[in-house]
Amino acid sequence: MDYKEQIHKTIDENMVVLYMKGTKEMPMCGFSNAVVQVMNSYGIPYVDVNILTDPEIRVKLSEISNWPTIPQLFIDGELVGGCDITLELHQSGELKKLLDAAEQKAVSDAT
Amino acid sequence: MSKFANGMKAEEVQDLIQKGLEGATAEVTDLQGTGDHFSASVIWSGFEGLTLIQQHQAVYQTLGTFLTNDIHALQLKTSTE
Repeated sequence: MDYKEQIHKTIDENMVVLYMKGTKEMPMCGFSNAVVQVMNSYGIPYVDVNILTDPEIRVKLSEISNWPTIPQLFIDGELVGGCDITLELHQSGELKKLLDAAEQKAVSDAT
Repeated sequence: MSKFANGMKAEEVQDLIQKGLEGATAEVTDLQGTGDHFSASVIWSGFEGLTLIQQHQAVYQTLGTFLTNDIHALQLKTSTE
């Protein structure tokens, strides 16, 4: 399976995915860490992908998402933001709405 | 070697954004005087109906390869008016 298929699979099969530098337990960059802290405040499960394990991941990801920087947060298969946008959505309450809607969908998909 | 060997000027970034988004007004500041960390606030009616990420992508689009080669950080504030 090539990189792009793998990325699409990860994004489509998981409601919330965070492509970041490092891991949720050990973020390796301030911007990635900021998003991890925000996500931890919601206490909902999400998948983290450490792009430092293979530089090719970031290249292919940016081709798919048309976004040049890391971190990249995906909710329900859609790119929601890099660090600044995610923080802005967090402050405006918009991020909570997106996460709640995704969780609702996950529940209804499961039943 | 990028065209702007010693980094870009705020006016150049502003020009790229305003040329790329017809009718937009952009205010760009060089955050560190190093020609590669900028903040920009962009007002453009075309942002109407776009999500935040799409608005930022529209601005990134105008910067093309400058974004990866010359500009290392760009803080963006976008609004419709």
